[in-house]
Amino acid sequence: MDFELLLGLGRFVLATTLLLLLTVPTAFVVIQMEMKIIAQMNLRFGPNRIGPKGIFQSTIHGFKVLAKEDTVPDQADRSTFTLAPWMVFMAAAMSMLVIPFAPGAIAADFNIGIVYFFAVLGLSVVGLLVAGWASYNKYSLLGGLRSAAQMVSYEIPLTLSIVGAVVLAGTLSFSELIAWQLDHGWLLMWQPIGLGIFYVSSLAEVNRTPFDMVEADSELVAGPFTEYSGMRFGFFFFAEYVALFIMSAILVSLFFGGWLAPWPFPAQLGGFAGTLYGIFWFFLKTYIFVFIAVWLRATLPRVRVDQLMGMAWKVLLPLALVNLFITAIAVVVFDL
Amino acid sequence: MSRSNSSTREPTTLDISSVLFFLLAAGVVGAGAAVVTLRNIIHCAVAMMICFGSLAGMYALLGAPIVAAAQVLIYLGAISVLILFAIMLTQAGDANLPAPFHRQVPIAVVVALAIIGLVGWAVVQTDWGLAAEAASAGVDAIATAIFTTYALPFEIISMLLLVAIIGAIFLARRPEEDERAS
Repeated sequence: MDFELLLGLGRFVLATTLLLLLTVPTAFVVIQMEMKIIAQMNLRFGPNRIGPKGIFQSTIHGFKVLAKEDTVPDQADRSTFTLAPWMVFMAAAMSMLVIPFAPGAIAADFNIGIVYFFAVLGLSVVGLLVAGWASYNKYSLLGGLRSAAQMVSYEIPLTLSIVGAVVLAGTLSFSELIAWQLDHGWLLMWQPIGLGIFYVSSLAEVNRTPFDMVEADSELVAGPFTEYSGMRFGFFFFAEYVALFIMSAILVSLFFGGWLAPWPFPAQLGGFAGTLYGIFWFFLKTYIFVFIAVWLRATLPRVRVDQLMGMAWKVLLPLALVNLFITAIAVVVFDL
Repeated sequence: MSRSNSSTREPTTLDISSVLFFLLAAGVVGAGAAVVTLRNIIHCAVAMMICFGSLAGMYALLGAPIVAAAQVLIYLGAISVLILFAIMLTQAGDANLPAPFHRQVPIAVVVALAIIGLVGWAVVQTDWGLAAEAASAGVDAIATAIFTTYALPFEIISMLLLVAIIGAIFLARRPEEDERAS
């Protein structure tokens, strides 16, 4: 038993290391997309000095953050101020454990993967709240309180929106959910309302425009990040972009078949080639949704705080409950 | 999730799961002590979260992943946030207030001893082999139990929670809002 446990621990350490390493290029790619795509949409060139067409701009930004002075405000609470960026980043990194990249390429294929994902993702709000308090700055505190209100509210429709999918597929494991989609078609066709609620709530949950109330720069300077500099600020930034990637990845696995290829191609291949094939389709679909999120940021204005909260409680939550109700009845009546 | 057989293990062998167990136990006890001894209430709240987190790890180690996930989802993700939120909204200015319970030490000692006695009695009385069996139940078994055997208590709890929420909203309403509405 002990050898098995050691093997499991070794595999776990390897997988977590790989995932932690993956966060770095992911953040760089998403930041680069953010800069270049929004520039194109605004009829600008965007960064074009470092590397051909400026492709190394975000990498240089990353190293620049490392080299900057790390300041702590005089009145700040030093221990929690230091802890907060780590909490936010770890919440994002830990939720990557259950992302199903391809057949056999899941760090931890829990049988309760979906519950785990939502449990861990919700932890980043604690980091934001603590960061806002520890900075000893009114803008930071307001940003922290907003983040708590927003993320706790949107977690409820976010979680409820996928209960319909869970009831249909009868599983809480990501790999089994994708296996179900292989047999029955992508969940997007079964759960269109659930998909809509999930998409809106997920944007709010990772604080993306039009729901970026947490760091609304025209009102709150930079929200909880106002007093942060250097790599501590970099950690928040990393966590934010990695969270965008993670949300798109989960959206793809829940509603768009995960690693399954779309219709004219064979859905799945066997062996090691099958893993690469799955990874290709998974990343392609995920980055399509990352692109849509960037596109939304270039297009939509920010909503007001009261509109934001009202939407979670008065529109999305009832809609999610109705969706669940209809799904449950359909499962019983048609014996799905 | 391989569950180690806890009932037959000798206490002297130091395998990986017992190392993990002692690490987590140290986390629970240490963070728990920090919650009651630290002076800054936000630090107490963060220490409490570490305590909850270690407890969740312990549940996972003992082969009850669904309980661990529920612990993280509810205690770490919701209750801690609520506590932090409440502290930040109610505490103006300096958060470093002296501990507010100085004069209640004798009563606190009595209450603490009573609780220790109660918990100790429960620990001695419990059949731990049976408890391990029950805790390691899968998601399906828990769901079946909630919606068949314990359907009535489950519904009563949801009813109670609903009543509590409506009551809280009613208490928190400002009187001006009523006038404006009428």
